[in-house]
Amino acid sequence: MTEKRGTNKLIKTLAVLVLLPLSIIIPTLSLESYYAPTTNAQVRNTKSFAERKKQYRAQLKEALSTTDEQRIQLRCLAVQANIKTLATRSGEVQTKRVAAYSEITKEMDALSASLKNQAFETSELDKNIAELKVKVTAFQTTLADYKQTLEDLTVIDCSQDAASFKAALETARDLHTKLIGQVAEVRAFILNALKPSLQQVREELVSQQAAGESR
Amino acid sequence: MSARLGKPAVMDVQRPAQPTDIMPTAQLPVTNASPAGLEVPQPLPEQPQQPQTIQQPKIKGGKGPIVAIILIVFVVLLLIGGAVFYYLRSRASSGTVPITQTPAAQIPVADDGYTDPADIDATVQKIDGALTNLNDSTDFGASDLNDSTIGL
Repeated sequence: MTEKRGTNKLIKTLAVLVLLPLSIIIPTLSLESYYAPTTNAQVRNTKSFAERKKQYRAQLKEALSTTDEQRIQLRCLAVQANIKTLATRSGEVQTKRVAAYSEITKEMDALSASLKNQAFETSELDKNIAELKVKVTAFQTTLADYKQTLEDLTVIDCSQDAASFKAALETARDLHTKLIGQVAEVRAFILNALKPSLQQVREELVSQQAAGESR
Repeated sequence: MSARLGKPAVMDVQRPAQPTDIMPTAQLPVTNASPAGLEVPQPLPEQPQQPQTIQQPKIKGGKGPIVAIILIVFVVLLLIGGAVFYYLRSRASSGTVPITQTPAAQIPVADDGYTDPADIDATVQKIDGALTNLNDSTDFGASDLNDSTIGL
């Protein structure tokens, strides 16, 4: 009898030990997996999402007409699917561009450091490298904002909140236009300022070498 | 069980084969009727020795449950911690691409440390290669967010 009681108690304890954690873990993981796509696509925190929506609405240039509102409510779900594709693409663009610009600045930094090691005057080159970095950073900030706005557009409840959707779309368009300009600016700077300064450095190195050989 | 053992019936002694369940103790006659019809109180037969109920050793209620509770709480906290860690790690890994740049101090200086015109040419080539891989008009098409493109 005593043994039976002891066994029962052991079984109960084991059951509690197993079931209690499971009752916490399983709902947690299932909720996480259920909401994961939304949270990933969404924002890092819901609070700032609300704040951003407020910010989008504040930037809306003109009030939404009834016709526009109805049009958005009618079509926005399909629009959100298209914007989701665009957001995914912008993520790929971000990865590619960050890698490319990073490679360029890395090369320039290495070159500048190497030139400094041989007591070469690099102030002009360094100035250009610094300016390139400023431009690249500005581009990356805009791109991050653009990507965030696109992600927000895919999660805004557009059928209920057409004004926020429209405002976010306007913001995304502004950022997109800005990005086109910044991308062109970075390219132009590299071609018209950085490369000529590299050419100048090259000519100086050649003349230094020639002077060294003639001695 | 203990109630049955605690109140043994008188008849149980006389008819031990009879199970007590069949004849409840309340219905058992305590007196025998005399032939004259007078009821003579019979001396009660000697009470059989009450079977000694085995005293179960009481499980001390002090430490057992406390240890179990502590163990449960510990396991629960461990699992919650694990779940939170897993969640945070999975969320962090699915974040956006870091846009930080490598500080100049961490960049290895090229080859032998001496820069010649060939190094400049190599750098220019690398820059051109990086720029060639970037297609501005494809990456940021002018009509990407037009009403017609997005279906609005």
